[in-house]
Amino acid sequence: MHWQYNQYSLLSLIAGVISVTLIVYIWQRRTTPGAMAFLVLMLTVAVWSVGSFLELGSAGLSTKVFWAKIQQLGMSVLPIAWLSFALLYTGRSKWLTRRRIIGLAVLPVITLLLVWTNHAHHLFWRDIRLDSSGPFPMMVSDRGVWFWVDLTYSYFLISIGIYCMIQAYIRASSPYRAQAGVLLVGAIAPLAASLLSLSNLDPFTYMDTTPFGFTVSGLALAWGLFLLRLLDVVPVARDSVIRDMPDAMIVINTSNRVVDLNPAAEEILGQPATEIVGQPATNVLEGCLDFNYESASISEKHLEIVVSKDQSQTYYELNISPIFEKNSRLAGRLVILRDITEHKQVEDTIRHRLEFEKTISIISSRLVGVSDMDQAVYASLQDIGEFSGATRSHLLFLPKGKIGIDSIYEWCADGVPPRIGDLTSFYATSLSWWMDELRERHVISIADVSQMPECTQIEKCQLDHYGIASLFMVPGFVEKELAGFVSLENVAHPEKWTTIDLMLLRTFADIMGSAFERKHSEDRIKEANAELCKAMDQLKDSQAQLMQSEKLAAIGQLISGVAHELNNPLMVISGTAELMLTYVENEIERDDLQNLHNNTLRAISIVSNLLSFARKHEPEMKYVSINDVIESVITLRSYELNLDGIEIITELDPTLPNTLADFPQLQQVFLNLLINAEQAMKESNGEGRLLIQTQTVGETIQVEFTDNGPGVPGEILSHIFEPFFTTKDVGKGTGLGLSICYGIIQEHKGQISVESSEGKGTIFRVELPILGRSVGCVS
Amino acid sequence: MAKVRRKSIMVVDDNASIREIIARALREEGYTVVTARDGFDALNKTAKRTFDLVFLDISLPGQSGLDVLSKLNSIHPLTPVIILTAVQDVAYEKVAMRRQAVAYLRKPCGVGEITEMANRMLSRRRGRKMKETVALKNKR
Repeated sequence: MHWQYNQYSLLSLIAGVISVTLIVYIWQRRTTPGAMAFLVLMLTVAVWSVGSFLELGSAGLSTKVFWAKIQQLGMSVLPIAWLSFALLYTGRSKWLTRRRIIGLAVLPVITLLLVWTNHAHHLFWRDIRLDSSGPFPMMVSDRGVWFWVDLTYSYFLISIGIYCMIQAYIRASSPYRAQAGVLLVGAIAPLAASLLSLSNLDPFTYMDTTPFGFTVSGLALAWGLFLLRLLDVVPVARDSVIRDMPDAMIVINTSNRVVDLNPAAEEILGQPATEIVGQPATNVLEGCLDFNYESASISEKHLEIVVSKDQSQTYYELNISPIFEKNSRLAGRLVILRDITEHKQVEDTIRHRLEFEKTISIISSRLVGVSDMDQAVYASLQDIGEFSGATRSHLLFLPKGKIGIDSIYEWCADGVPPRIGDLTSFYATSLSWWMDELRERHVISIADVSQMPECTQIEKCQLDHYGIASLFMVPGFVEKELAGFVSLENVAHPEKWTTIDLMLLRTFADIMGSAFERKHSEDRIKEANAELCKAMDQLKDSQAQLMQSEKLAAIGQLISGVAHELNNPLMVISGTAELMLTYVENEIERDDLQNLHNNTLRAISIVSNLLSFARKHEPEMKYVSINDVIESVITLRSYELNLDGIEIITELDPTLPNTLADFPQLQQVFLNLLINAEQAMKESNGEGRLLIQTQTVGETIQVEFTDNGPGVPGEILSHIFEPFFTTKDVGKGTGLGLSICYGIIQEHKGQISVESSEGKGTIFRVELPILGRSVGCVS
Repeated sequence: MAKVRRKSIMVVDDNASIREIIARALREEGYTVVTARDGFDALNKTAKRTFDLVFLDISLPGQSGLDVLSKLNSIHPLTPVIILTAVQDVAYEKVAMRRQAVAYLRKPCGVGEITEMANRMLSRRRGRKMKETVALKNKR
């Protein structure tokens, strides 16, 4: 093949090389959106450029014609590729369907068929000849009819593409100006080249500059596409992002009218864009969102609004940002509404959950180691009620193993009347149903009382009667037994009780269960401790008494032995004296004998006393009236009492029961007490008043001897019942009287005690158990 | 004038001084008195003759006064026995009364009381010739 060199073909070669390089470059980045269309475009440019280069370079006409035909392949496909790319590039990918592409391709395919069969019909080229008049031989053709058709069609498609590019450039906002500039170059270069080509000006007469234009355009676009990431954001993505984004976007101009909005905004505002655009922003936003745009637009930029629709609430985050023109002049405002309902719900759930945990921790810390349980329970009921939005909360305890109600705690919200007074009857009447449910560990959750089923009419009536709109009851168990329940009520409106309410009540019921279990066991321990202390005291008392008794028994044994030994000699002495008195006549001797006899009798009396103290025998128990015993003693002493000026006042309880006792022994006791009082009062005042009282105190008969004598000093008081302890003058007392009394009362399983204040008097108190009461009669 | 037989009394007591003082007092009153120091002595002496009255101490060496009382009763059911005792015991008294002692006297007591008791017993016997039970309380 003959080859000729010229500078024009070189230009085509450069365009070809560049476009092939671009093809390779694009191929490596073919995943970028729009890259494939760009690749096809560059391929057509390459075919055109290379074809042009080979046409210009070859010498023979037939060869030139062949390359011209090859060139035509690129020329025909290029407009479609350009248009496709431009559409994709400017975000109109939707328009570009397969069917449309095929439709667009129909004409170029016809062109190609006509080109290749031109020799038969000359429709494309009427005449082709070699023009050697120029610096190098050129293929010159007279254009046929179809050439013009094809040219028109091509320019039409290219123009649309260029139009799209220019429009995208105009629309592009300032941050994207560089990219837009690239777009402009990409759009204008082919246009300019094409115009140059058509102008037939030198040096362009000899060649078609259009592919070179496309090469420049390709370079620019490749730079924008891959280096400036033109396609990523602008304008293809940018428009679609705004169109498809879930956030509503409303553009408002400086005169506060809506200029633009995206589909999401249409949906939220509930009107098509055609109706909203041009409307005052205030009307639109206030009508649909109940949001005062005017008052908010200046100060607030970031706020939350709630839109209620069909009982559901939607939360929006509203952002208002100013739009400035290049010269910093305010061009309008951009309102963006983001649906944050889900976010809000999650946030609410978390907040609620935190509140729940806080409430639980407050309640549990309050009920641990608490002393005032009631106060803690009331406070906790308040926490629970407030947390769950209830108007009343109750805690109710059931008595163990019994029917009825043990105790109720109630909390009422402000302005809600308490019904604690009615609760007892309330649960008593409807008890069986509630209790059966609760015992089965069921939770009673009535969201809306008015929706209660037929079978629960009784309960529904009850609830209606008290105006309760919804109810929630959770049982509590102690040692696996139903111990009570916690309940929430709402009088205002139906309440959908949530699982978190349930958890709260469950936890509270559990805490209460264990708190009360603990409190009960603490109380039981305290009780047991108190009893133990009491028993301890009693033990100490009886130990002291036992020691006293043992002391007495030992002394008794000693005395009894001594006394018996003394009895016989005393009897002999007194007998002898008695005998001698029968025959001694001397007065002085008789006096001595009488003195001897008297003192012997006294000794006998002492021994007798000693023996009666030492005597250890069970009292002879008969039903006796203590009042009778006392009266007999007073009678016995009435003469001496009168003589000594002692007044006796008796306050004897006529209802005093009879008891099993030894009458003479008790006589001895009371006689002793009477004589002691008598002597004490006589010695200090020469007169006195003795009060004798009897009464029933519990299971004992209490007898008190209250005198107004001188009283007994403390140090004596503690020894008063000890044997041989006496304060009387020598010869006047044995010191055994009270210890004998003590012994007798002990044998009667009773108590004798003394209280005294010096100068005021003394009280002797005898307590006797009421024995054999079932047999005995009440006097 | 017919000689009136003097009434005979046996005094049983292990204490010689007591025995003697009681015997002396009774003799002063004109009774014939025989003393015995214990149960065997007393039973021996009653075997030979009968007494009009017996003062019997309840606590005796060898055998108790209550046993002696039973035996005396079986030999001479009509002889009244007055129990002398140093023991204040209701149960003892009850047993003694069941065994037909006529009286119960607590020691120590004055000799006057003993002679008075003897006089009363024996004058009654003289009149009615029958055994009676008389409960006399020690006044002290």
